[in-house]
Amino acid sequence: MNAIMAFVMLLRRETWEHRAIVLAPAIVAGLTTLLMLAGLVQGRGLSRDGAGLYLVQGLGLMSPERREASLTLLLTGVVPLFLLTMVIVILFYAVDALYSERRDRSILFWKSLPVTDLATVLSKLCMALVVIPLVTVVFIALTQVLTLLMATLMVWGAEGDAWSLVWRPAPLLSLWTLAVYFMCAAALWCAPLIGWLLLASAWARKAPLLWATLPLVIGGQLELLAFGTTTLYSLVADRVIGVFRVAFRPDIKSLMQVDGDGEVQAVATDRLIALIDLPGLLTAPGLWLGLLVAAGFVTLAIWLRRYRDEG
Amino acid sequence: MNELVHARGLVKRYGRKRALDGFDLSVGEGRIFGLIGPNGAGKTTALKALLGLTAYEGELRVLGLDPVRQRQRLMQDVCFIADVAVLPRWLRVNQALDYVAAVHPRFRRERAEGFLATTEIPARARIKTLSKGMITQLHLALIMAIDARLLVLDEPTLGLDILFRKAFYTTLLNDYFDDHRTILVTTHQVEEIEYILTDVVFIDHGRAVLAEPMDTLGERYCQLLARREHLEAARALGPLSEAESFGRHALIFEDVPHDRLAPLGELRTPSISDLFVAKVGGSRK
Repeated sequence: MNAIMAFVMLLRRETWEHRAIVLAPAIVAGLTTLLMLAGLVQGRGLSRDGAGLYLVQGLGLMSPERREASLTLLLTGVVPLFLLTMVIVILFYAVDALYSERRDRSILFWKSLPVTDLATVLSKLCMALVVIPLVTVVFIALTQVLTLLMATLMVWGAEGDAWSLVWRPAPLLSLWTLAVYFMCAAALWCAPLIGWLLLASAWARKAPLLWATLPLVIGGQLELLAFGTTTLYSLVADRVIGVFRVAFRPDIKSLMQVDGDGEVQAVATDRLIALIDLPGLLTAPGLWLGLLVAAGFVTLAIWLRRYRDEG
Repeated sequence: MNELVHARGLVKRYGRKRALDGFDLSVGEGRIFGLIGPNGAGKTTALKALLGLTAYEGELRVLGLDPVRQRQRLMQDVCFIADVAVLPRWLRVNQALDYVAAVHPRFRRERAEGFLATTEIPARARIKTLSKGMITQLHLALIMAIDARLLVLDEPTLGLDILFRKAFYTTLLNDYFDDHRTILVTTHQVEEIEYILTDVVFIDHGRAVLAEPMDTLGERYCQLLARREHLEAARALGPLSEAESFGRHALIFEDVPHDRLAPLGELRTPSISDLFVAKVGGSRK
């Protein structure tokens, strides 16, 4: 119990030091919401004959499938921005995690307390793989709920029925399940990348970001020069974006019915969950190989923090 | 006597340089040890070895534990302040208390808060807004609230003004130290801690060149203010050092019986700093 409390405190410590973990997604959520709010005010969304009327008429005229498709697109529209923010936050967090304490020499304070290097490094790994994605999911969900709330106000302004027009067709639970699954899959799939960043962070005496990137670029260029191949580059690229390939069924296109004008007519929202390919993920050899490599990098990072004597 | 630190023949190499070169140390329970040496003598390296922060060769036990392999257990009973600047600038005072309370089973929060209440440190201030003296006070508050058996202080008052330095050691002695606690401290400002030490160790070129309880220091070492007519006789007894001030010659002797020196002039116990200059300064010339 005490060990769990202590580990939770290690995680809290990280959020104190790296405030971007909460601030960055909060700012994205705040800005998106503000923009929507501005649009709502601009379009006099709350008045009887304002934009709400178009919304009620538009959604009302749609087939139920098309309505679901529109709401799904509306709710997922903000997700890429959150994901991009998350990737940047994780990148900068991971290269700083084991570097900043050495730069400001506070490592001697942390090491004066009975916390193992194993627990410390694992807490930082846990932040990058679990906590930051979780925070991102929470802010995505919050933004989606706020979006629907604003749509509700508009619909009410035009005296429409918010439940049937907005809330029932919005596949919130499916989207959230997908989001959590995606974060778990991405954490497992990208673990070697994070492990590499942590290792660079534990290794570098200066410029950890450079240490994290340069060896890959140099290695990739050397390979290109020597063999004319791009194995290393493709490996890294696959770790960045390959999770979509491994963890989901490839029939995402068939979920959408697109008409001749390129408009999405329907999204089979009841089948969103069917996108999840857990067996595919768990049987991908790349996943397990990657985890092995990640374990190696993390072990090295722990060893460096434990035994390196920087005088 | 319970031996808390036992070091025999410690060697630490950095490349070809030997930071520790056969260092010996024996620290008993309930003592206040001053580890004194010039810059680069190996003080910090010795402490780092004791705290399991660096690998070494030789024999070393701290509280009966191997400091490198049993480091986490050791840290439950050992506290240290490595330098004034080590508390991270982004941390807040209350966060520091929260953190130590959660990870240290022997931390008593009320104690730390009680001590902080006597200072001018705001409860939620960020460390970067505190003065150097306040940061040291905060660190001391954290450390003193931990029920540790051994406290290691490496230049804890470096860069502080004299008021803070005095207050630091007074607090340590009055509010922290008792029979069950042991303190090992290194400092340049020998005169200021002389009165609190029970034992003194001089370290030079990675070796302990003197290790003596304060109460027997006067038996082994004495300073002779030699009368002019006996100066040559005194010099013949092989003093460690000789210094002249205001026309008087002060010679420091090691292991020379007092009754042989007494006829030659006035005898007294040398101060730690005079002894330090005699013992270490000579070898540096």
